[in-house]
Amino acid sequence: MKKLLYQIILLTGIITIFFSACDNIDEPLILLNQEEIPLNVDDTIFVSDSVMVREKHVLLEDFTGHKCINCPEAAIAAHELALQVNHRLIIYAVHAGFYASPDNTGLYTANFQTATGDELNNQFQIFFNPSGLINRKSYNGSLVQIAANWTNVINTELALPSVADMKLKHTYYPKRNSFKIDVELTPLATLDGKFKVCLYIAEDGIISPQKNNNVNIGPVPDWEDYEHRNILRGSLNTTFGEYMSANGLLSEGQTYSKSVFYTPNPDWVTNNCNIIAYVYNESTWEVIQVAELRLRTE
Amino acid sequence: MLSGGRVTGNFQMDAQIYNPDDALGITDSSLNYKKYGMNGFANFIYSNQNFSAGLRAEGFMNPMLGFDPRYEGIGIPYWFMKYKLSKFEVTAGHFYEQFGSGMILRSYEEWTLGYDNNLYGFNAKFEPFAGVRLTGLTGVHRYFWEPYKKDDRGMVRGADAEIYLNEAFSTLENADLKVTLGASFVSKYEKVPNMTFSRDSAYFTINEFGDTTQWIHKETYKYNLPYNVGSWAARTNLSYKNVNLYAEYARKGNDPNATNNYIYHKGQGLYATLTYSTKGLGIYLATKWIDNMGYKSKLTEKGVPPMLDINYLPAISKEHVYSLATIYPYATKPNGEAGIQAQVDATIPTKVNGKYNTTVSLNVSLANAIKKEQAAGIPLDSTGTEGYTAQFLSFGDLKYYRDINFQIDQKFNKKFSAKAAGFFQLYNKHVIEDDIFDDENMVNAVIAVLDMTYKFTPARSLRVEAEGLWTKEDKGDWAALTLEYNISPHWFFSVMDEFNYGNPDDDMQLHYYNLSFGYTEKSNRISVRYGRQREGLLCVGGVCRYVPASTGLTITLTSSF
Repeated sequence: MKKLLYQIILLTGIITIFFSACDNIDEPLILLNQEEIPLNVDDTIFVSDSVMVREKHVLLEDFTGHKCINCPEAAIAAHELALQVNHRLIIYAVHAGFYASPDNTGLYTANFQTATGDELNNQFQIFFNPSGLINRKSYNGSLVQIAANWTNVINTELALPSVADMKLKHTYYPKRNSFKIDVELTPLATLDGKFKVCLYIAEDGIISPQKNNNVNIGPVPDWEDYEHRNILRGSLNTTFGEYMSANGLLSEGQTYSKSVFYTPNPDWVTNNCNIIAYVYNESTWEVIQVAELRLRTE
Repeated sequence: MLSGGRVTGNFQMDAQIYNPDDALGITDSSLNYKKYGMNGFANFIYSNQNFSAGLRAEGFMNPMLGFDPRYEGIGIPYWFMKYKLSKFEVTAGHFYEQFGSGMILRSYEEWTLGYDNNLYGFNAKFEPFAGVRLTGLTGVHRYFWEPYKKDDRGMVRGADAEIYLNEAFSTLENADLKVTLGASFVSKYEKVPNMTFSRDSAYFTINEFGDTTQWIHKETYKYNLPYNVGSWAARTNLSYKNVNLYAEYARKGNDPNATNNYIYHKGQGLYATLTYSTKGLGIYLATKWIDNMGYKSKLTEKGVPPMLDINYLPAISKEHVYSLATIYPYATKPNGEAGIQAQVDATIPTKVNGKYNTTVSLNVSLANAIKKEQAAGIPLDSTGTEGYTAQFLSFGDLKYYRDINFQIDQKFNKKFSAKAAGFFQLYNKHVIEDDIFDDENMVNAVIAVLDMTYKFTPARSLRVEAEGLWTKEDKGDWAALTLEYNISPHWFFSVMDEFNYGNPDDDMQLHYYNLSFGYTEKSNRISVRYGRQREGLLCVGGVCRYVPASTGLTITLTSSF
């Protein structure tokens, strides 16, 4: 009987452990995005710009932080490479994690962290900075690339044929101080899988202190007037985007489009902001095409 | 190792050659030029003392009509190795398992439905004492031929304990009351996808220039989906002399998924049966109450065909053998169903010809919706919400199914026996076939059957089965006649025709004829059938498969060793 009692206690313990393997959800929905969409847009006064991408473009997601001493070197090298390849490399900087956290006092009080950046940091399990995702494609068995590998991997990706044309366009309506952002994608082949489009906004040219350990590129250990390039400010259509077509499937030769409306954030310099649009495979994460466009209000 | 070992197995192959049939609208094109379908399997099991291992090879080339095309291929979807040592038994590989009635876990295979949710992993059983049985398992479900890849479906973990008190406690060994208690817990872990949806609302603004703009306010939400969905169940079986009671209650945590429109309502269910049997009389009562108990190991998996099911919700309607009585079968509705079944089997001492009694069977089953009420004024089943509230054991007004049937069996002499059966069925076609929860498409059907067997000699007999189905709805009236000649133990020959003479579409007033014969030799059997198959649902235990209409030749081979 005593043994039976022990068994029952053991069983109760096991079942208790199993019970803990159950997630109780109190808040079923998390508000990701709110958008104000004008239905009868005044089309008589507007400013418009667009970019057409026909070659293979590559996305570098640079996970960084203003207290990361090795990050400026990697970022500067990446932007120099972008210049060399005629801006077929598109970069945004994700300030997330330990090195991006703001201090209460001192040089590093700026907060460049965003909900979108935090979600990306968690999703791709970024543990060190600088780290990069290059087209979210796995190389050497890893999706996350250390800075030393960036050039090689980027060049490898750039050498691949393009699988889709992309057009990114914005139209600014001064009377309503809002942008309509249009993205179009035309696959050059029928692609396997389901595809989502993400529209992010990044602000370029922000002057703010950055830690640095390389005297050859700037002051150490604190580079007080460092120019931060393309800091990710957020997403216009949620962190992981929405299907490019109704069901996510893409067929050769068809053109798929998405539009969002965006009202500029008064805390950011609108004319320094870039819209970055990319389309990725929902199951593999691989980015198949990316485009970048500077917002213009005049 | 190999000495003393033994190999057993069985084999089945169903092959169909399809013909174009203008009357049914079947052309080579509608068949996708797949004029031949073949489903086959072979089980091989090696056992040697406490060790056994086995595999099942399957081939679908091409899958027969009505089977999901994703089954196309050949391979080994099931293998296992099992050993038993003292009070432990461990299975590695693929296995089938059931906790209680299956309300929170049942893994099984039903060949006729193309249903197989075997688990791939480990299953361990332990019997520490007589009468105490513990089971623990972890695994992933079969999904057609797709091998498990990280995060492509959830992992299922489960534990079950069952105590047969009369065996566990020697003082109860001879008690009239036999008691079995059981409890189980099952949890699913799944890396949930990022899923969003949007809600829109409209408003107007007027700016300083007097321009009116109509705006849409669009909110995009992300579902906060549970990585782990747990469920538990408790059950008892009480047996006292001629009476047996089985009852099981189950609960499931919030489990938003594709089959419940991603609502967060917690699930619960009750299944109970009460039986009484004595010489000449058997009584069976059953009830089932199910509230949001669909449970799959991948939350985006839809219900058709049923795949990745963790649990099984027992059906409480009688499965019929007569063909016209199977036209309107019942399919379990996991999102909400309340049902009752009662059956009485009695032998009446009529002493026909001085010795033959009459057997009468009366069966009644019904299923309704449960009573769902709006939660906080939100429309029923709104995605991303509680969905609704439901009081335990409530009966809703919407009728899903009714079946009142009887059967009388009478033997008149050594040569002649007969069965007469009647069925009164109410079938909610919208609910059962289309998951549309209204009463806009109800079918009332009355079915009568006369089944007579005449034995010319002990080995030779002729069976004549006449059936009629009368309904004003759906496809109207049917008549069916079967002639079956048996030469025991080897041969049978059969001619059958189902005639849909009451179809409201004159062009569909068709004969579904079949000619068949079969030969049996020991445990080998071959049967050949040529004819038309009518479309409809084929259901086993409340789980159904749609069978499309077809015309052609069917060959079935079965064998075991």
